[in-house]
Amino acid sequence: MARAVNFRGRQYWVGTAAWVVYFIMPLLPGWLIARLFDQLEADPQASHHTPFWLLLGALLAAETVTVVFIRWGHTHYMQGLNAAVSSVRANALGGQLASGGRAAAGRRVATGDALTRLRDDPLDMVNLLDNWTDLSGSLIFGIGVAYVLARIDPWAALVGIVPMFLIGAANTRVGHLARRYRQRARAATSATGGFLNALFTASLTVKLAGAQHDAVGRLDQLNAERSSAMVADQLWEDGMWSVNGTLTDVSVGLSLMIAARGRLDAGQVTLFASYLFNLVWLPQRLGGLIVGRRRYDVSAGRLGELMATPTDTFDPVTEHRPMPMLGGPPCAAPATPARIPLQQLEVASLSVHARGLHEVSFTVGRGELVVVSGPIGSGKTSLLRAVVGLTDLDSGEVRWNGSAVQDLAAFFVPPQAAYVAQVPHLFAESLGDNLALGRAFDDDALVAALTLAAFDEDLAALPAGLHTLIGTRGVRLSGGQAQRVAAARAFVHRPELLVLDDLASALDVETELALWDRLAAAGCTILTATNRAATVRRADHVITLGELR
Amino acid sequence: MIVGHYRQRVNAAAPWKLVLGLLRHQRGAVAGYGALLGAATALPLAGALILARFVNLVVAAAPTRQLVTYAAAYAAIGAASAALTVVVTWRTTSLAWRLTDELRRDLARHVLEADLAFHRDRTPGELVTRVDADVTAMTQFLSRVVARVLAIALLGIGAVVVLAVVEWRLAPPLAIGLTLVAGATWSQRNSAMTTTVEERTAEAGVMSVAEQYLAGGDEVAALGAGAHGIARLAHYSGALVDAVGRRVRIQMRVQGSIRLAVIVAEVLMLATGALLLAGGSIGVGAVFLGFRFVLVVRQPLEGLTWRLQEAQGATGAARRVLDLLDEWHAVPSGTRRLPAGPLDVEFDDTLLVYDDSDDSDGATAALSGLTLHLHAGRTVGVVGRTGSGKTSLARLVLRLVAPSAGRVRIGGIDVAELDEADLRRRVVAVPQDVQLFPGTIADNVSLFQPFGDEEIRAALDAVGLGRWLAERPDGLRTVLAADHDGRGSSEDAALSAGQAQLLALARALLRRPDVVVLDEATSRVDPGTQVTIADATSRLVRDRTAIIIAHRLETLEVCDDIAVLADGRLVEFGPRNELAATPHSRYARLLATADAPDTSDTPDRLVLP
Repeated sequence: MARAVNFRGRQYWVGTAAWVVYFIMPLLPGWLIARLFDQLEADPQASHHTPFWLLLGALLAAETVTVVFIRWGHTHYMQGLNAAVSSVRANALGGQLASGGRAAAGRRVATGDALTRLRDDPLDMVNLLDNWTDLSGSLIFGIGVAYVLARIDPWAALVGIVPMFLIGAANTRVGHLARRYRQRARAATSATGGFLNALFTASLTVKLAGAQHDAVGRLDQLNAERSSAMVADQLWEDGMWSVNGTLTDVSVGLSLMIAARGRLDAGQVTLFASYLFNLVWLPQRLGGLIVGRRRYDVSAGRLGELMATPTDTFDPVTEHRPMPMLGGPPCAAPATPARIPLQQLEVASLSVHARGLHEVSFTVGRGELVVVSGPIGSGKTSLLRAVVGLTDLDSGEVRWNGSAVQDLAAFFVPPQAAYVAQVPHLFAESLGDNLALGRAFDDDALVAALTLAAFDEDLAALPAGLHTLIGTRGVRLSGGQAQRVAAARAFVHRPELLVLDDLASALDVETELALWDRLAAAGCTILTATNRAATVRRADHVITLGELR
Repeated sequence: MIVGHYRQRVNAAAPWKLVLGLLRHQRGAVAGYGALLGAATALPLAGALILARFVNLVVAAAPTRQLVTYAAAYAAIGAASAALTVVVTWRTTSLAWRLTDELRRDLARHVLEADLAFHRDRTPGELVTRVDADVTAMTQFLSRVVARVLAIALLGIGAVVVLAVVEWRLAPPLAIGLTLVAGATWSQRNSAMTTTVEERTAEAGVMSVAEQYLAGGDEVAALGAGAHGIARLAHYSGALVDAVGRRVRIQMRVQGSIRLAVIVAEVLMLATGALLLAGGSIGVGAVFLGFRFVLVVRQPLEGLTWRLQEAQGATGAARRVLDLLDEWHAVPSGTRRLPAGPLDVEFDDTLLVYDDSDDSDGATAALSGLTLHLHAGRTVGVVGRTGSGKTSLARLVLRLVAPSAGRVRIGGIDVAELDEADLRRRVVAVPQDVQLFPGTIADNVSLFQPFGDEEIRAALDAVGLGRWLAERPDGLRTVLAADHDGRGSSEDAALSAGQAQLLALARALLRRPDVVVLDEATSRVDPGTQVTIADATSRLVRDRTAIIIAHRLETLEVCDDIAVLADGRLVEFGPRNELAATPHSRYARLLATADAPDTSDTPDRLVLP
């Protein structure tokens, strides 16, 4: 946890110290008020004398200082906490992205759901830090309170303080409920969010079917489930806190019953009432810590599920990756592996049984165009994805110049290989950034790649050329345009091996054939899935996959 | 439907209005809740009275037994108060969720009723944020802020009233102190608006980067772009942390001033009490009572000040929700019903200009002077290059847009006059992109509408998905792994592109429509599946009036007639066989140039992606 804090470390620790002091501060006003009542009890005419007004002035000053102090400390603290949240989030996303394609293929969490997790779970995890701060402050305060009250009447102090810890213990005992409620609430929220996303994506489909009423009926069901889960979760959270607050009065009453045996004065009564009230935070914080601890586990588990191989042990806090922009050194360009010129690619007995691929073997020589064809559902896309490591293999291996590649996903990246998906995904960044993806390419290289992908005319029509922002906030590209940009994004690396999943809808036949020629001239080796006759005729080898399974 | 409640006062634009609208709709529940809150208020005040009495007894050196009784009573009240608190919390949250669930449903319906122009400018993610995240901010606002403000206001007023009765001379300092507090709270209620918006924007940036890089996981991995994604995330995270700092600074200023007002009230009370005590008109117990009453309000108030930022969040959320409700984009519905049996479709000098077109040549008509009579039961293939107006023609029939001039008639009735439900029942669309829902196969075919399993099964059989269905483990109840965006992306989803198209045909077939508008899919499908789709298509259009927006020429065998569009005008219309046999017809020339047209680019979609 401490490492997550380090991005804005100074701010975080200054803030934490401020909070601890803040928790201790009520000791002083409580004491001043007790002295005031002592004076009033001893001498009803106290307000005619200076000491009374001095005390009152001191009270005002002490309270004001607390306010000013926490205002300063809290700002630092919040920034520190938020930096920690950001770093956990970046680590979780980084773990997901760095764990490569297998994560995408093996991930059982839809993107909308994953996003909810990335948004909320780091918050819950870092809240644990907050819980610790609160607890430390309350604990020191509690020790002070115990000391002062024990000097008045040790038994009364004991009777006042012990029930608080009983409450805390009770909170612990039922603490496991919190985890269950939270999980239920989160799951219900994810389900509702996922449904809404699908519903709004398909909103016109629903409208055209006149199915709004029934679709909203389904939403009502999901909402009802979510509401009941959320009410339970919040009842646990809010309810526990408020109950603990009011139970202090029970403590105060009980300790006053004991203290009444001896000689009490008004000041002591105010001390019991105010100190015990402030002490209520202690078991509350303890309870908060327990709830927080459980939420931390739930959230860490949920973030862990985003990882390549779902694991209970993943901890985005400790599995730390550098987060460049938060106070650290500026972001360095990602390391590019050294180019290993391809002589021969061998796919040996590759099987992904769930995708209908059984013992597929073939060889691709340098500069060749190899086509994978076959009916839909025969596993063309899966074969390509398996080769570049985006789908886990059941068996078989892929050899690069004769030696087996251990980690396919890690190896098949530029400059070794570049993959163009059937439905490519572009980012809401500039066209140039979309091609470069953080690597340094000059504009000429980018334009050359775009030209190769037959995007040159489209480029000329874009308002700001390479700097044109694309995506929802910029220029929307058609499906064909997007695929050509994705192809250019692969070409720009001049990879040894290009893996293309069907360019037929992006390019017309002539352009596609011209592309193969130009790529061949550049010494590029190509593995592509397509059923387009012209490409199949042009291919050096054709791998035909079997019937619909 | 409670939209009407807030619809009239949208322009006042305050979240409180939205809250009031919601509360008004559940008056009964709110009244019961008010009574509960009243009881919850009375208990702490009673506790303070008992404790003050206790102090009086202490000062008077009363017998221990009497002191113990009062202390025990105080403890008992604390216990009762704790029990009541649980009930209040429970009622508060369930009421808040009940109220806002209605808002969620209304918003969802609002979005689903909207037409093309509305969806053109919005991503589904944005709409989910409105309907879910923003409304949940309202829920939290209701349960954590509104409820607390209400409770504290009740407590404050109760304290002043009780004090006025018990020791009236101390009521004015309490009233003055609490007025100060209320003033400090009220005057700064909106102070953190801009910074809250900044924070939200930064947060949205962070999440948008995360979304994109998650959704593009394959390519991010295959292109080794993970580090770039993290760098982008870090960039926005830095902005977020800065925005948080600015927001917290302002928030603390607000909180500080409220707390200072409470402190002033406390000191004022102690000073007044001491002066009155010196004058001999009240006792120490009364001074203590006044002091305790300030505390009774102070304690929950301090809790509230930490929640005030949720109010800021809710203000923004409520505004966005109201803006969304205010935006009404739907081609108006009429009340007339279609005649029974097959239906003619007619265009009568129809003009369509998209008023919100984002093209540079926005003023160009998508369709102009279109006059066309499609006879009942016949199938027409509409061909033409991208931008020729094919999709617009379909949208007009489906009333996704209204004609700028001229008429569109179905069954002789102007489309504008048709009843919405009747139109949707009789006229069915098969969009190019098939969207799947997280749910069962049955849900995905019926679109949650009440169709019987046998009907659904028959529809799937009819389109050639019978064998596929038989192989599903739970039959119609098999849950489809729809991707988050509803598209069966690559082969990760349970359905291939071809199967998804067949499922869309089954959706249409199930509804036994009289008019079918089919936007031909352009996704790559192997020849075998192509045949299955062609079979299913011909089954769907048989004996029905059908309009096929064709993006390929080889699939037009099913058509009786062909309409050729160019630049928004009808340039040719006639029986397909005749046109094909006439060498100089446009259709024949298109056929001659084989698969050239329209394949170089993904065409406009009937339903936006």
